[in-house]
Amino acid sequence: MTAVLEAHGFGKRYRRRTWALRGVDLTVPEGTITALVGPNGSGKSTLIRAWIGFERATEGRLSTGGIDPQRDRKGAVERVGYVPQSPSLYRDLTIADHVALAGTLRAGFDAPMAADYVERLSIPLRAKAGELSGGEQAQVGLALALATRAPILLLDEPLASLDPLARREFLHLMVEAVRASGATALLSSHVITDIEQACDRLVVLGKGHTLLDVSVAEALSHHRVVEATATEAVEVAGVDAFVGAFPAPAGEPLALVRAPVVAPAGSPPIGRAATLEEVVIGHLAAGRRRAIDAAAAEAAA
Amino acid sequence: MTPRLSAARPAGASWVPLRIAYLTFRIQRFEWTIVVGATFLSVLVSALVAAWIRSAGFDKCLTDDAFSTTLTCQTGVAPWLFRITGLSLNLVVIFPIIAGLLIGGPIVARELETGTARLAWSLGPSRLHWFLQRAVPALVMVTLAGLVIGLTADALLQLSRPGIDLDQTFIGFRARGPLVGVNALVVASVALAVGSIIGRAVPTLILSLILVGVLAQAVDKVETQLLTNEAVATRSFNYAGDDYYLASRIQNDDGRIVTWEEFYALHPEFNENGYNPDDYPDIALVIPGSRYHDVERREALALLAIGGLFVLVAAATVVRRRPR
Repeated sequence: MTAVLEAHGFGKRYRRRTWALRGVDLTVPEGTITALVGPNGSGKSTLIRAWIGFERATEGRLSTGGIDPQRDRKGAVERVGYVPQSPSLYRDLTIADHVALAGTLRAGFDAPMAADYVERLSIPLRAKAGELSGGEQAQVGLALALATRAPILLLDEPLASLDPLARREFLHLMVEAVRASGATALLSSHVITDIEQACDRLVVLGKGHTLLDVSVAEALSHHRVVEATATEAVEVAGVDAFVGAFPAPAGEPLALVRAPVVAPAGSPPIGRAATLEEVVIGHLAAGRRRAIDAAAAEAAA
Repeated sequence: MTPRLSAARPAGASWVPLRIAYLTFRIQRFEWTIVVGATFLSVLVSALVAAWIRSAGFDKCLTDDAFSTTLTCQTGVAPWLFRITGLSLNLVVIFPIIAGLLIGGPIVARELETGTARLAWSLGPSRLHWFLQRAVPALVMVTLAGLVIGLTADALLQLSRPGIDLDQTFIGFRARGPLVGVNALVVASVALAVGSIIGRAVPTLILSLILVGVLAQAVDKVETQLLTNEAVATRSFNYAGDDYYLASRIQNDDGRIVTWEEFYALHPEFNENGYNPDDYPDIALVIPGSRYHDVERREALALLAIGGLFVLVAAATVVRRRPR
């Protein structure tokens, strides 16, 4: 499968000190809806902004639909529909004005399609952007991005400001449009339950590194959860299978372990099936542990 | 119903510039309303005052010395009408600064601040195209507003000083005629560039104001130096009010026209005892009023070049910078 978004050894450092991301290797296959998950400050937005040419790489290289966004930002933007983290519409313009404005900015912008999407979301075209809720503004942002008919859709935490119903409508619209057009979408989000329904791939980013990059189906089938501390989990599953330990909502210790691809004959699988949220949390915990160990090793050295 | 979407066709159609200008106006509606409203109000008040002065015969107060001392001119409405005229002429000086800052400052700065630039730059592959869409209607508009105010000032000046020939006098220089429009354009360009770099609306206004002040000083200094080389020397009491006064000099006994510093260096004894003005006549360096349009045109061209430079800086910044 062709990769439409690629990062090879990508690193971004701000103000000559802080690395937002470092050594990121990542590919997003064509025609997939990939979830990009990670804690705050893990560099999700930086990576997405770099793919559209809004950030310059400090090291490594990127590819957006075969285009290097640093060398040809125009080409990269032409291939991308982008929905930013916070909706940023012109407060005093109506939604119809936004659609018209987009039409003057981008050749091939499908204004009737944008209007159709907006109306399907029950947002009046005559409404001013300033009168809309945060969720509605995000939906307008999505409609504008979809109407660019770009082959790549980059969604930078658009679900953050949406209520559950709006989130569901947003995802439904996005999935339907992406599937219909054969586009590729990368959705960064914290809301794992929604991702599970909408996305077919999962990338977990932690402390500037890629912690996991698999299909959602693989993520679910290749992990299990045991109700045990890290030490107990290592004893049960083996050190190679242990991923990370984290507390359950009620506080009891849980550990994420890798399930063997082929279970040994006669032995029942350990623990229980992991939810996607547990897979993500387990890998984030593992990433944090590794970062702490690395920092300690560096300090000792 | 998609009432306005019939107009949302790809760029290139003949009505697109008007649509873009309309949207640009909507985006900066608050500032445009103030500037266009102030311009309209100024023209209206000026026209009303002028019409009143003429229809009531108050213009005679300005041309007839004997009549000017009558109660008609000294009391009642006439002094108020002349005061309004004077005030309007004084306000012309600050109009380009206020209009330029209000219109030019937020064009890019506010879009960066509120994040709408990010939306526009992700929709439109060409940031230059976006920049021109946003900046050109605003710059044209602020220039036109300045021109209207400048021409109104011309008319008011002629009304308040009927004896002068506006084409042959430096009276009201830089505060009337097309220079007002050019000044507004330059201030807007400066604010546009500062806003593109800073990306915040209020600091842009403050910094632009400071920069405009420095720039005005610099332009004035350079122009004064240039004009001094072209100036006509005349006895201090001989130059006409229509001329543009540049500097005071003194004529040495060898016939040379020297600065005061040079004069006192040549004659240190006069520091103590003074000198006889009949032996050393005071000289004024002036540009004759007949050269008004020459000087005005040259200053306008220089200012347009400076404004163009700032627009280029703004465009280059927009193309290179990252959105918030």
